[in-house]
Amino acid sequence: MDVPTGLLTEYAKIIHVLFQLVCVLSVIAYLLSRTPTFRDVVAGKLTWKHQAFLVLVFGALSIYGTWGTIEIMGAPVNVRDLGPMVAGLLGGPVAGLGAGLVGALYRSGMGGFTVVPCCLATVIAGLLGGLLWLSSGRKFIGVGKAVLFAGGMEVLHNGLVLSMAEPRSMAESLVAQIGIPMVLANAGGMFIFAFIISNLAAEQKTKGERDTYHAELERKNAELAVARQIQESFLPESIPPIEGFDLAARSIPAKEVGGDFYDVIARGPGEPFGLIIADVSGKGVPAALFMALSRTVTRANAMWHRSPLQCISDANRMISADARYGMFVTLCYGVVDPASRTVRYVNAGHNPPLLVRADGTRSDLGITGPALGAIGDAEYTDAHVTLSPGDILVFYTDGVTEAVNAQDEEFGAGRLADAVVASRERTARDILDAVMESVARHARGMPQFDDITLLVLKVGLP
Amino acid sequence: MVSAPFQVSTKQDRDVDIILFSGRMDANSSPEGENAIQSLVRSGRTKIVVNASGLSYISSSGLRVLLAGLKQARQAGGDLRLACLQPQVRDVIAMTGFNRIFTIFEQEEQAVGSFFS
Repeated sequence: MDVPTGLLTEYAKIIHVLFQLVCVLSVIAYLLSRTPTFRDVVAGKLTWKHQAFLVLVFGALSIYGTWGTIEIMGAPVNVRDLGPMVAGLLGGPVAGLGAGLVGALYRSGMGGFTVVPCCLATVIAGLLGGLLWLSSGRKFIGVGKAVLFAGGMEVLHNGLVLSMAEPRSMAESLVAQIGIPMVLANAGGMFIFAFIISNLAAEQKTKGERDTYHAELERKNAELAVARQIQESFLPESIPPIEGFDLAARSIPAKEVGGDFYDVIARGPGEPFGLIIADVSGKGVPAALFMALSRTVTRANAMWHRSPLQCISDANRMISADARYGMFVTLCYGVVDPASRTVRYVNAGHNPPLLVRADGTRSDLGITGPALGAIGDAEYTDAHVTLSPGDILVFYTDGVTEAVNAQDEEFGAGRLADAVVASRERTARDILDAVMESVARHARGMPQFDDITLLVLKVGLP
Repeated sequence: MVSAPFQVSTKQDRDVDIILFSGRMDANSSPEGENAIQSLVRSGRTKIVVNASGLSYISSSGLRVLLAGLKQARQAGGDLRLACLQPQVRDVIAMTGFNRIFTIFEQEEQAVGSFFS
């Protein structure tokens, strides 16, 4: 009974001591992984300072692996080779050799019949680790290979002891006792380090990718902010005052940049003036670019032609020539003659502007041709209405009428007209505000899906 | 307004390709419809009928996709014709004046047959 109990106690002791060793190595590896220098090394930075750091730290680990020796069956099992191996795998031959020499120097002071092969093994461990680092393209070789290397290195270590230590019989009995435990202890220790190193490397890679992505995103946002400013500069900075009329306009893009625009073409006191509202197909940057093209072409033609019909026909031909991918823009252009108070207009597929008379009756300016850019030789016609004092003309885009509430119900042309009729005694600015408030109340809590643009013209009282 | 997801399916009748759109065709879902039309046009199949019987809503992004298909098909000697428009789609196409550009039919069979007359 005595012998098995003794053996059990011995195994329990081995497991206990090995467990302690694993704990100590884990703590060392963890603490190391938190140091900036070690992180640099894992990220691939290797100045002489980094190499000196590896030599010192893993040389010290090699010394700890020597005196922190585990007694197994009365024989010393050590993990002295572990430090140099890790230093080599991480920092190349110089770091590995350096740490190996530190460990070997310490070991040589201890003497004993295995002193030569043990010192030699520790130096070789560091050197081989460094060569493996070189052979994998100056990189850590990975967890699996590192653990295999550690096991193989300890087989080599035992082989050196067998072939070099005298007397031969003592060397044989020592290797028989501690050979396998040493392979296991070093392989286990290597697993701890390799695992933490590869985790750290993966973590750094993820962080690097995330940082790149964030930087990219920030740059894009900055570009969009500039694009928005440029786009805002396309809209009239202020509405020119026009005698006998009251005018207000506002555009709120749903995203950073939008596809809506409005314009006021003023020629001088008493001269006819033009009003433009437009909505480009699609959303985002493509819509914004097409908006810039359409706005420039339309404005240039509006300055050139007195007749809205000629302006729109020419603008359509030019925009169609440049409209790839089916891009188009719905646009309504009206020219108001202050003397006769007539509005001559061409509506190219745009939401019919709303006309609310002073007495509250409603009508609209229906379309007179297809959207611009759809087809180059499209036929347009023009139409006209005559306004009276107190009449209100509201140009709008579908972002107004298609604003939905939580029940997915659209604001609609009806509510728009209601809001205008209810506020028709007030100024153009107040009417615009009333409509905007009404839309906001309707869509309360819902995100704005589309650009919202409004232009309100009110005929002044004589 | 029921928000049905956008769906695309295709079939053939002789050498005419029929694309069935259903659900809502807006800025988010239009690229899927665009792919369906583009893959036909790119492989040289330009007699196309879009059956919109299940299409409850179309935005300007969706119209752009139809218009791009129409332009490319006509350039290659074919056409893109519409059939079975539901009220909202019909209204939007009328409002933008696209009813003057697209050839529109009540029934899919009429649209397909128009390529043979």
